[in-house]
Amino acid sequence: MKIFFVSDIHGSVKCFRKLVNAGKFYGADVLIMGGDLAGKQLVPIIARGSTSSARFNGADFSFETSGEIAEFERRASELGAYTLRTDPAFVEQLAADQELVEQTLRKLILERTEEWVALAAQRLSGSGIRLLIGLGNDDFAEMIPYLDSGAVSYAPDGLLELGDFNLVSLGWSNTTPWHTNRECTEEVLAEKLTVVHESADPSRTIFNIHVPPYDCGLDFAPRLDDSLQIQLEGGQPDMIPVGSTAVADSIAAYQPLLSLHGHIHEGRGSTRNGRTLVVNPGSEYDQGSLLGALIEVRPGKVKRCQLIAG
Amino acid sequence: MATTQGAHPTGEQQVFARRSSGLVRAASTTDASLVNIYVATFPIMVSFLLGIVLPFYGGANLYLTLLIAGVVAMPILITYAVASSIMRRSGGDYVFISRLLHPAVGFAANFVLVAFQIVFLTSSGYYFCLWCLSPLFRLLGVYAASPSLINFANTLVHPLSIFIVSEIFVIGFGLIFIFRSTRSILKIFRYTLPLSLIGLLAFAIGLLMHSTSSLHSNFNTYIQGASGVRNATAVAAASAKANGFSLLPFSLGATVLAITWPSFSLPYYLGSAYFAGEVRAGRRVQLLAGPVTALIGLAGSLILIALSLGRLGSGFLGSIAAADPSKLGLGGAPTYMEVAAGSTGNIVLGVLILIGFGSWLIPTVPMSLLIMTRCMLGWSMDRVAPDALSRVSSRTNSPYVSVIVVTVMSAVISWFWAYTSVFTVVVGAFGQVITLGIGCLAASLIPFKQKDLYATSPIAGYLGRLPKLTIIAALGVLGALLIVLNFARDPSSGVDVNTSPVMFWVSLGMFPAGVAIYYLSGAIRRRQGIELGLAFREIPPE
Repeated sequence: MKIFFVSDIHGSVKCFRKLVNAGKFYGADVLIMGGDLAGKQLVPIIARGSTSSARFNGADFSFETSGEIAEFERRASELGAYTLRTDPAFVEQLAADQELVEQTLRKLILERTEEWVALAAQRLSGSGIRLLIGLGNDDFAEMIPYLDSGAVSYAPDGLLELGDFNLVSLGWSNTTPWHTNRECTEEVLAEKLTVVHESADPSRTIFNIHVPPYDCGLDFAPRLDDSLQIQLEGGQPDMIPVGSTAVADSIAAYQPLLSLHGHIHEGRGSTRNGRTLVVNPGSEYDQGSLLGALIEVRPGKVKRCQLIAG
Repeated sequence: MATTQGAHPTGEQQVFARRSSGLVRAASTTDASLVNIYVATFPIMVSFLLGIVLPFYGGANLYLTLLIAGVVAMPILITYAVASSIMRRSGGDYVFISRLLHPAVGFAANFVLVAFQIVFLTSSGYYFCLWCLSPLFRLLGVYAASPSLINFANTLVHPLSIFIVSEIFVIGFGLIFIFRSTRSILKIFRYTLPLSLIGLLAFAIGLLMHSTSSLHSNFNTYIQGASGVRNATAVAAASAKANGFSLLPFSLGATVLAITWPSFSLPYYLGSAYFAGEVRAGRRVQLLAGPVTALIGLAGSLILIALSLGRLGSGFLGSIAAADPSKLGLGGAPTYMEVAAGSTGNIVLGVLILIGFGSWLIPTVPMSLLIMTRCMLGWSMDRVAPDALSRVSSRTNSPYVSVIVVTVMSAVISWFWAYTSVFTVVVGAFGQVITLGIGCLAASLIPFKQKDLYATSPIAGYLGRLPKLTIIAALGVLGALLIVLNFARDPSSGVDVNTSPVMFWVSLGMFPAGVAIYYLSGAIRRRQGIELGLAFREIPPE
């Protein structure tokens, strides 16, 4: 079975379309999206009389025509942003109310998710290629009903049969400095993972756990101070392990054939933990680049694994 | 659609973010810039200007040489800063060039960078021994009136001593990297960076607190204490004159030719723009960090030269550099820092100057190790190089196989530094400038190959029908080409086509060798069922 695994596309329309096309491009049997489908930023396009303006990526834009606005919306969405045509009064409300920002973004995320799944279902129809979408810590439960349509299906927390294999998914992370939707303590993560140990054959088991194992080399992220500013050491970002100890313990104890992770965008790579091949393809969604891992497996063996930047 | 610079006229907040992971504030630009200046080691560059250009490039104006080199390097620096802010270079030039040009070109350019970086890496131990350790023991010996310390200082310029010190440098850092971690070798900067800055302060104080004649008199006393040679100033002047040295009138040709020496340092003030967060509010500030840091380095170099020439005199410094060192009873020509240390007449200032100067030589080793091992990791991850190169220690997460490979190669190259004269720091720069030129060529294509990224970046804009980035990048390619051509025609560079043809052609041949390795590796991987070309082939997004 040929798997194409990606994670953390965070609202990038370009990355999602690439993911849908990746099946045919790489000859993959199954596409697995390891979570964090939802994007992060809301870009208001503010109308003032006959002109509109927006700020994105540190640059200011002004628009004279609706065609210009549409082109900007397309470009921003390609890179993961959600645009909203609005007026100065609503922007003031957003500035004063973080909860309103959350609600507004959630609505836009759900709309985009629905569009994406419809597109994927249409394109994958009759191709024999499946797309499994798991959640990540930046996603939220209300997205789940939108993730099942045709060849697209939700990869729920727990076990899922995948041909000759068992896919064990867990769309949660350990605690982060951002207090996101789907994070919990290491103890709770360990509890969620114990279900796995009782039910599956390791040589046919593939983990699809959003957070990578602690200190595996694929979980290094910049150290931050209390204001979330990147800290440097010797002029370089001071990289520290931030993965999950519960996931590390689970892999060490259970030794699945393959363990797929995301979450840490900078942690691109693959490594071995005993018999388990551990993979994190990383993420560069904000450049419209789809980082992934092309993996061929047979029961008891990972035949090949190649990291790609598609 | 128009892109404008600066804050929005109404000052309203324009981007809103959810509570989501990964949204961070960019690293402090000041912190990054300070280390960038340190890593680019401008006082070392000044040592070459005063030790080689002043005596041997008759009529060269050092200030103008620096400014011309700065003008040539600036488009390269701006291109890299802009390109890095648009396309993150987390994987280094390799990823950046592979995506925009071709994976074979990306690998070859990176292979060249690694091959020449090793020359830089191994130069540190060599110069640390000659320019810091030996003068330091000589200075201590003079003040302690200890012949054994002075003898030890003289011993340190012998090839065997240089080789041993170089090996300690290379293997020591390699072992720290393997058994401690990447963080540990970067932590060394916490101690060496302040020392290097204190050294510069001591240098300035030492020169400013005495008149020129007093400095010369102190230097005479220092040399007399070190070797017994009386009136070293006059002896050096006579020897330099016999060697053909004199202060010639201004020559534009010599001034331009001399850009060889600043060009091994100025184009490398890169790096600080890499740490942009995902919501990039402050990218314009970061955009400036690299080029502005280079300007600070340039200004620092000009100040060091002005202080040296103004207080010690160009005739004095030129004769000391041009004189036969044995006439002064020394094993090698003293650097401007040793001259200053000896001329202050103060042991505390002298020791601080020399330790500080030595500290400027240290960052090259860990930074080169990091760059080279990261490149090798990238090659291995993309299956161009053997998988073993990406093996990491389970205890320290260090890529120990890559580190061992680099350390062993460095240990061998160190022998060449100690026992032959085949390498100069310019040889190290030669291939790297080629890589920078290819990087600029790749960056010139961003507006065409990454239209959305370019259109939504803070520097998007056109002059006529040409994107601004493409114009700057084209100037960067031209700058890199000028530097390479200057290296190739300068007899002092060690890589010129006439007097060092073997080194020139070997250096130039590294690029096609890299392309050949890529395709050879591709053929081997294909037999294993892996298609190398897939690593960077873009999936159609439509």
